[in-house]
Amino acid sequence: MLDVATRAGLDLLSVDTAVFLAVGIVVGLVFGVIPGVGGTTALAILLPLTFGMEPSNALAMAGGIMGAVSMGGSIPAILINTPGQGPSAATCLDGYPLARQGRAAEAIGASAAASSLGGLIGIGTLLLVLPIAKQLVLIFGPPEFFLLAMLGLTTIATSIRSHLLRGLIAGGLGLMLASIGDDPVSGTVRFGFGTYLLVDGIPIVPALVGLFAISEMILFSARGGRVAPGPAQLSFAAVLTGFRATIQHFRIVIRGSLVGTIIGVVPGVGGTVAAFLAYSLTVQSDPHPETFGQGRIEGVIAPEAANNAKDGGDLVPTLALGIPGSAEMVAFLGILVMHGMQPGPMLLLRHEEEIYVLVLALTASSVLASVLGVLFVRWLALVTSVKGEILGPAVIAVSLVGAFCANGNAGDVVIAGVLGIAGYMMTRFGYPRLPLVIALILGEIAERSFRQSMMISDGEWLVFVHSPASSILVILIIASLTWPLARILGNRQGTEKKAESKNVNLSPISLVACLPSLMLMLVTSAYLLIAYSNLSEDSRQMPLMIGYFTLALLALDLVLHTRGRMPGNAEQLMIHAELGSRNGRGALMRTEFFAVLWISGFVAIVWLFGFLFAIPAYLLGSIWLQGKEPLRTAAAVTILFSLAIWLIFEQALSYRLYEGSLLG
Amino acid sequence: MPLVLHRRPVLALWGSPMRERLGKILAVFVTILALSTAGILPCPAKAEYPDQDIRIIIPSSPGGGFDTFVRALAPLLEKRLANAVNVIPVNVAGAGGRRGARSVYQAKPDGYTIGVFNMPGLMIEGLKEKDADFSLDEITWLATINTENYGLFVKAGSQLSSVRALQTSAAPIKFSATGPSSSGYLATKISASLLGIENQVVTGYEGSTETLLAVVRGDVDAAVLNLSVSAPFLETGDITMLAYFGLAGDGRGRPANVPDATELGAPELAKIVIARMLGGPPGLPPNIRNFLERAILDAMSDPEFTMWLKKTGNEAQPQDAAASRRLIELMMDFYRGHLDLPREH
Repeated sequence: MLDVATRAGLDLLSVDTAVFLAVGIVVGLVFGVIPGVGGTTALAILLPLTFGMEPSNALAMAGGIMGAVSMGGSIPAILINTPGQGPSAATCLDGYPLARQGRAAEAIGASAAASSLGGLIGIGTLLLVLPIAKQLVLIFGPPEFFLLAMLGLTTIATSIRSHLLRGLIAGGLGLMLASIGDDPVSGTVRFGFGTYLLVDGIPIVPALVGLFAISEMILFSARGGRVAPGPAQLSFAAVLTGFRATIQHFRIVIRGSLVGTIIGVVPGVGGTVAAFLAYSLTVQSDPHPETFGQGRIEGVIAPEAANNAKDGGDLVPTLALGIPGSAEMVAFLGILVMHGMQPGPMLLLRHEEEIYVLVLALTASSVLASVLGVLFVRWLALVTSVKGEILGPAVIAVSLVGAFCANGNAGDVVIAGVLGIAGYMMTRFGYPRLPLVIALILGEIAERSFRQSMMISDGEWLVFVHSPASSILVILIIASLTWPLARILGNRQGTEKKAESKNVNLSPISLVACLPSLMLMLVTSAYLLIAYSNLSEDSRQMPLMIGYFTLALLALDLVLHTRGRMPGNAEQLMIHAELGSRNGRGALMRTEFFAVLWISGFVAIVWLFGFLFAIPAYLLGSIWLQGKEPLRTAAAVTILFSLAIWLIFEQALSYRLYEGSLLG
Repeated sequence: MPLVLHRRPVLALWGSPMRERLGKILAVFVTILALSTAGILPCPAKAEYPDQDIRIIIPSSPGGGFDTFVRALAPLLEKRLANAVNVIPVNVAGAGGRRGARSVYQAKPDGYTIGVFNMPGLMIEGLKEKDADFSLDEITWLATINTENYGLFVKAGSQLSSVRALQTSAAPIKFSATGPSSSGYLATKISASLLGIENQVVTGYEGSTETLLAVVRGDVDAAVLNLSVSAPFLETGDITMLAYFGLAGDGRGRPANVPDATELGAPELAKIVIARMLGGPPGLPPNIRNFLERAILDAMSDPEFTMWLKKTGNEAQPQDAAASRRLIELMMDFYRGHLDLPREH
């Protein structure tokens, strides 16, 4: 093994392989930064180019890309709350609040250090477990998948800081969204309304772009201001502070990396879950869970370590069995197959040297990408001092293009837009977004594997404890549920007092805030009605259960609300304070209304006339008319951005941007 | 629309000192807009076909089995086209390949959009008449890349060591499969019924390798799989092949002593195949169709392609347009006859 590794190392040091590695790293970083396009796109575009290459060069480049993408994705997540790719979404939760406090450089420093360490741990694990990969992957059958999804869902309960009920409602809504689309067990399409738009369900990347990037940018268009209103610490010393924080919290790095690796090994769950799970576990085990979401450096470290460690984990089922652990791995499999390296049990025996090149490239990339990211942090972080009136529309335009490019589907633009507005409403009215995201991702896996388990065992529930792995998972679920509940009960009196004092602050808007509850009840009732009347008995069971559950929670929420017992969560209070102080509430609601209207208009114009028309029109309109910026600024930004988007997406990436249903 | 809604601010700014510059800036803006729209508008056709890039729609995400095939073929196809035309593979994944099929079906029949089709997966919804979005009868078939037979597999060392054992089992045999509208599910249901195996199918596995692993893990008793998926696991001895659904003579690399369709007494089994076919929109002019058919068949016999197939362990059995049309008709007839099967439980 050692001599093969040495030979692979020498391969990597040869000039051409090193050049391909470097190209891979840069490409990975850039693709990571652009929202919507990520490693999958980069690898897919690379695929035909590798056709004439030496296999080891192709793998060096692929390794470079895979190791660098997650670092790239974290940068916009931290700076502008826009996840560059799915797994970076969890980094938004605390990374972005840190940027708001002017600590972007520190957060990126921590992210870089955690990514590198996580990457190294993931690769180490990969090398350790590759020989027993098949046995490892075989541990996870449908019952284990179900329990794993349940474990993820129970972290919902722990990730909600101040308001359990609202968190559960958001989780219910997420499950409702997850039930949309093709039911893989019965083959019926649920809530598809006869279009292709929703057949495959709510696509994750556009959903995350909507829920994080767009909803945050609506806030900016409505409120103005800058990401970091105060002076930003962008010196290298700040980056070093981030490094130090990562070293100080080494336990969190280890835990995050392990979560990332394990989730990576399990095929089909993906890095997004890994990052969120690592984040939730960190919140859960912290003595002050309520301070997360307001800029805790640990909240950056955990998901970042998981995010990069999962690459090593992902490669286990991909290399050993040919089962792609994620979308990125599907494209990577293509590269392997293209070069005659049939993944599967025989791969390691036949192509040992190439696999070591890949592993070493991945290692080098996860370190070098972090170094590169840190080198550019000073310039990149300048974006946090751009005016919100300009930043908001620009980010929304790029994000919606990204949402389109993720699957080349115009419908995804609508989904991102709708979820963006919904996400804004949620933060505005005090519903946390995190449970919705986790439920959206895990809902489908949970339902499918539950029904499969029941079919396999002929309805015998003991199937869920019949293997050692499933028993361990059951214990973890119980622990995850009881641990935070015990703490909530223990701290009950203290928090209730705090909640009451918050309640006073909120009282003037509590009537308005009843409306969302009522609207959500309406939506849920419609969902139930459709499920009841349109779906077969087999495929409506789960939707009905989720619907009734959510409806009951909403009713309880409303009752508590009318009794005046509804404390807002910290995030909501913060927004209210900021929004309220600006122009008074009437003016605020007007700007909000128009910000939402502009986005709806943008999506509608994209749908009708395509991006190339919609982007300039939207940018000019919303910066000039909505943001009240001087026309010259608006026109300059419009021209610059429209050209950049056209050059990057149409020319460099040879996407054909959507041309509209009228022109296309 | 948004301009109307925001008339007030527009007017408000109209009176501002900005007004003088407005004309100039708007002119620039309009020019840019015009330039960008110009790219969208269709150019009138002139020179000899092909004089634009040709797009091959791949109905799956990058990296899948189809994808690599097309991407390996694309540069060789390019070599056979005049005017330095590019052949660009475009992934239109989703809805089990139906999104991709639809976008080929709805494309202009000018020879610049063609696509790969996955059979019989795409047929099923159409035959159930659930889907009026495209009709496979109308597609202009160009060529077939390859066809593949299925086989019946159990875990190595399983007590169910022959088709006979499956047929006489007291309990229904559990099979694993992907979703109920997949080729694999249909193959499972039809073959089990042809062989007289009482069956229950556990659906919802995410891909063919996962379907296979369900057998190795012991979730289910057996699986019906295509040969390229099973080959690596046959080699490592994780699974055993109990039956081969093809006819004698084809199906390279299948183990000895495995009965084929004729020996199983069900020659109809040989009609259960996966086919990867290339086609264009309905109404593709005959001269373009013939041109593409020749170019594709030519590219597939390119020594470079043969070398790629050998290196990657893939197989191709190119068939021309006429043979492809016959294959489609044959498959349609076969599946129409068996369509009620998946519903019975």
